Amino acid sequence: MLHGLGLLLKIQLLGTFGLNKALHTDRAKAKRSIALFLLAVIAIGALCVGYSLGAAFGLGSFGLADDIPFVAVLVGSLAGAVAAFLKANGVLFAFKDYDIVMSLPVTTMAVVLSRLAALYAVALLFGAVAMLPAFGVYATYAGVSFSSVVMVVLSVFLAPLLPMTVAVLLAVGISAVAARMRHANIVTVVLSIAAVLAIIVVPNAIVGSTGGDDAEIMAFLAQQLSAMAALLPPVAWASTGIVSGDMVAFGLFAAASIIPAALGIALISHRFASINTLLMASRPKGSFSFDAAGKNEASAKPRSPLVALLAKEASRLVSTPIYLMNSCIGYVLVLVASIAAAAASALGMLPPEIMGGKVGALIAAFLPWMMAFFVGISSTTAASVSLEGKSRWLMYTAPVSARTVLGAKALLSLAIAIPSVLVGGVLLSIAFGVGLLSGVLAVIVPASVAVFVTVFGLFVDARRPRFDWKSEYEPVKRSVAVTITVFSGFAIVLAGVLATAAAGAIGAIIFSVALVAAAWLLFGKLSAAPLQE
Amino acid sequence: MDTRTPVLSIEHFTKTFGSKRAVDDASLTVMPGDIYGFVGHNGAGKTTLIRSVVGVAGFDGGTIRIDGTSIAADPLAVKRITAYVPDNPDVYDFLTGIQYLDYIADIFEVPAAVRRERIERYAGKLSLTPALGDLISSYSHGMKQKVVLIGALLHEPKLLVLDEPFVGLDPEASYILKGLMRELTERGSAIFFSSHVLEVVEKLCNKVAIIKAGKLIADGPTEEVVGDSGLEAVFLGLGK
Repeated sequence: MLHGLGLLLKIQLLGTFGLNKALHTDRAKAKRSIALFLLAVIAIGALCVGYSLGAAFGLGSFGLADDIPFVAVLVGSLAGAVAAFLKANGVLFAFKDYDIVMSLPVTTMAVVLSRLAALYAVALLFGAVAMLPAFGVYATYAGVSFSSVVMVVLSVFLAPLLPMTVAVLLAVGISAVAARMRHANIVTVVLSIAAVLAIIVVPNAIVGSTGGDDAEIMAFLAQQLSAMAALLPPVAWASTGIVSGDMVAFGLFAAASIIPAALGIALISHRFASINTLLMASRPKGSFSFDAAGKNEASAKPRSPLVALLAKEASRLVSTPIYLMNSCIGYVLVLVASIAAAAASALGMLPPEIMGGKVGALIAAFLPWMMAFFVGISSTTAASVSLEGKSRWLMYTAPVSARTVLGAKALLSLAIAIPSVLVGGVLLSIAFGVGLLSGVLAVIVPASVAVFVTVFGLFVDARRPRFDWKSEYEPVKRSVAVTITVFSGFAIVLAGVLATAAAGAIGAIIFSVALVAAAWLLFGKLSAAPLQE
Repeated sequence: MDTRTPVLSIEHFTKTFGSKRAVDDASLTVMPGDIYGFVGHNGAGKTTLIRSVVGVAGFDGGTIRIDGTSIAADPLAVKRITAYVPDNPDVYDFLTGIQYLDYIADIFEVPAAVRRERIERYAGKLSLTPALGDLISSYSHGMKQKVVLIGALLHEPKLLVLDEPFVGLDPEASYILKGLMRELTERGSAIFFSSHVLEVVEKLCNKVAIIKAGKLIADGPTEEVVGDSGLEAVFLGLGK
């Protein structure tokens, strides 16, 4: 089985980021792709390390150093859960080379393990860079024994296992439920967004509901951590093991991680073929007739090429859950946050000290950039050209200009972004009672970021498309274009914050105008060349 | 001498991939009414030439004119009168068959009345009507091939380019396709297609070209190229 597993892993690795293809067609391009990939990995790593160090030092400064291992293991666990939940479909299930892989003389267990290994590697990498710096900070506060160091290292490997197992089973459950329903993709997206919101929003809402002085925050944090420890015994066992050198507690954590994972792998291997059959089964009705279709004349009404292209892009978005989830989650978060803030304000739950004064002025100045952050990491365009995949001949042979084809992709992104920032900006401005200028900026700034990221994502993807994917997951989650676009979004927001800090509202306005102008120029340059290989 | 404007005119076409010359100095002419077969071994350069003719890929030398217009000078004008059926019918499988056909009709700006009549006629002929309401992802290879064919015929192209059109079609659908090809050329259009099914090329095409290692080594009226020996014998003989 190990030989088969090794070969399957090798094939998956060669397909990652299209590196093998690049190596065999254009070495210079391959080098650039590898450099960009490494740059992205370093940037993500630096971000995780910074976040981990900040959170650990924060806990230490509040006198909660003994809770650092708990939080570190929790973060490592969440990394496993999020990676597995978002990527289970397309990697573990419903991948396009399923038939070929399953016809190979390898065991089903080897196929499952090769797929899970990819998920585990991502979770492990992310978990390690998020956990190890925090453990380092913990060592400076508490000092650690040799056995604690061993347990720290083991916890990095063990932490993702249980949540990965639960998340994979949850993802399968959602897909299985959705597959039996008429609008399967919409059900998958709604359930998935609900799950992601539960992971992101609920803990922040709990922690964010505090206010007041350090002692109050410390007491509140301690209370929250203890509540979470009661809720998540395996994480608490790991923490107890590391902090107290308690081998039994750590052994319980190890058992609670390994046994369910082994059972999960056995269960998935046993039911792998039937789950995939269920997820990939089509249920054609074969009952179309022109007489029945004729009753709905609207469906046959001619549309302009631009409208037809826009409708096609929208169909692809709603039909591809991973694409919709990945490119629109930022807008969902903006809307959820703004509705929550408006509701909290209406119910008098927002602390009065944030209205007016220094805090109020800060909120008024940087509220637009908080929204812009979520908008900056969201774009349907960064994968839109790659998603044409093997159907790209339709794009190339259509008697439509590059401006129209690419314009439709940009328009879809803006059709989602602009209403979202309009609603979000207005609601947040009302909730925080900011002045008219700040209110206008709360719409204009994120809108300009959305315009730039939309065009920039399109530009990068059109210049570096990846058409040879086997699952939509690859261009949506693994592509160089999406990674570059997301990090450019970060960088732009950071630059905008600096411009606002330096020159106030004028800085924000000038920056926004510059973004829109840059987007206009970029789109002009992109659409000037004909679309072809 | 035929003074009509050729539907497809390729002159000194050259395409390279890195240092490899995939097609070298190829020239041929397809006139209105022609069914022009294009044969050659795997990797000889058939698909490379076809992809440049339909605008999927650029090329390095020579000219391609469709109905007298250079595809380099006015690519949109020539695409409006051309249709392409690739060797693998990969289309938007998140659309239903009828949604895909309406999309293609919108892109080629086919009027509503004509499009419905044509979809109904071609789908009926190819026995695809009951499946048009289903997602293309549920279609077999042959059904995808049929829906791409219908889409290609919707705007009554002056030039229909097909790459291995008979692969994946059942015998009845192949027979119907041959009929549709003849009907289209009788209305003044032309067809240029590649195939490995030499018997079909020999019987269906009035002209044929053979490409070997990127060079056109024979082209012209089928009876002249084939002579008395049959296309298979000529093809195998040229391969030695």
